[in-house]
Amino acid sequence: MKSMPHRPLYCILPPHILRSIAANGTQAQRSAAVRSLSVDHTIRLSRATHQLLQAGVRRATVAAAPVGKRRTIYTASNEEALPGAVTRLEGAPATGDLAADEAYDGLGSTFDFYWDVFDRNSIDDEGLPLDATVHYGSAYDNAFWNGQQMVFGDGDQDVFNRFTISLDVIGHELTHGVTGDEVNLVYTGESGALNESVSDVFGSLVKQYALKQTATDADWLIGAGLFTDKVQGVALRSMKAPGTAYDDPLLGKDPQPANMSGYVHTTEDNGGVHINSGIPNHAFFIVASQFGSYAWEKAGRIWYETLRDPRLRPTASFRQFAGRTVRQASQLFGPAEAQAVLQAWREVGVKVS
Amino acid sequence: MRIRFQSEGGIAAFPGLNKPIEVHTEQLSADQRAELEGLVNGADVFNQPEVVGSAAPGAADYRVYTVSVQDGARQHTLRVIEPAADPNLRRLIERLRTLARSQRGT
Repeated sequence: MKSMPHRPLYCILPPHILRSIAANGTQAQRSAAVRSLSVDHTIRLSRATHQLLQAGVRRATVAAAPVGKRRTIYTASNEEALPGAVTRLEGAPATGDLAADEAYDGLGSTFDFYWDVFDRNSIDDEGLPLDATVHYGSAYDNAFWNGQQMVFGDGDQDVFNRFTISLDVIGHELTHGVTGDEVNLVYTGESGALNESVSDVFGSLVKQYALKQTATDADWLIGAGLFTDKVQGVALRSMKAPGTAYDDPLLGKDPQPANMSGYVHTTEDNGGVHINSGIPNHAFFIVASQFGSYAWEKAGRIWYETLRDPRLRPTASFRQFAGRTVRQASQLFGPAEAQAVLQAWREVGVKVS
Repeated sequence: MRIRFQSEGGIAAFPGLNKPIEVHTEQLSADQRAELEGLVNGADVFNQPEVVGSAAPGAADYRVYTVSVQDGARQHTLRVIEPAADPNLRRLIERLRTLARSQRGT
């Protein structure tokens, strides 16, 4: 089902609102909502629509898939075979293994964020079980999403701590799954940098939501706590000030630009996807700071609906993505918000047509 | 035997960690040399394709390793997209990662 092409979206209201109307509204409202839902592009909404058409529908039965966290944490026991051996299942008590318990809790916080804020039921919005492997490899300095699950290394303990230490890193990895489900932004060049940026945006929002931080209170860092004391740096990236997260004799200097004028053309790292993501990251930071309050309420909503926008293409450029965020801001909130989003992109050198 | 190793990708781009390292096994101790050459032979490097593995749809933050080996007249370069399925190749990469760390002084 995931290979189905996106069809144009004919409704303005986001699907979660339509679902709510369909469940709770008058008969006329319900019919209209069901009509709108029926042209959405995903199987989950087809299922929801089918259920809504049945008599006596209630909110609790709207979701087609089981709702609730279904986490499985595996350990690779410092080998590199995936997924490894099960170490903690959903509902089981803490294991005492710090990485396993952090992964379990972090996946839980990420699930809660998507469910509470966006009414999204897991990675695929159909209740996909969440799988993560910890203790991957020997002194492995990385975390990744392999297309099906999250993988976390222990770090070398000299420069890097364990990769489960930062909640935003866990949110970052899981969001790669969300992006893959919605619009699989091609992992190279600008679309790849957008893919990375979307993971940073929602990874940071997962942490902000868990800590109930406003845009002003948030640190806007990705991977705070990941470096040992030996490193001259605070995190992997800074959305507030790209290029300033670290400057260290061993790691080098944070290469992220905050503006298109600093866009890095390289063949490494899939065309610098982890470098140029600084530009859209900073645009999001500016938007969220402009709006104030909790960043997930408006800025996060605009970015989330952009990710779900059927007109956003997998090969989207910064400019095309920016154009969709302005459109979403206008549709969701109004002209003032659209203008703020437009202005933020201008500040980072992305001209929206 | 000369081995060149470079790592790229991963959750962040670190300019200092992406520099290639080069090892001349003749310059290692006898034990280290035997171990490393054994891993290269065990991984059957010269008979591997130029690109090993492929990124699954939607995959992200994985590393890509470039390994070049020159042994007499034989020379081969391969790019390995993690996670590598072949355990022998995984063992070689892991050893090279450790060597890279020690060369950088960490």
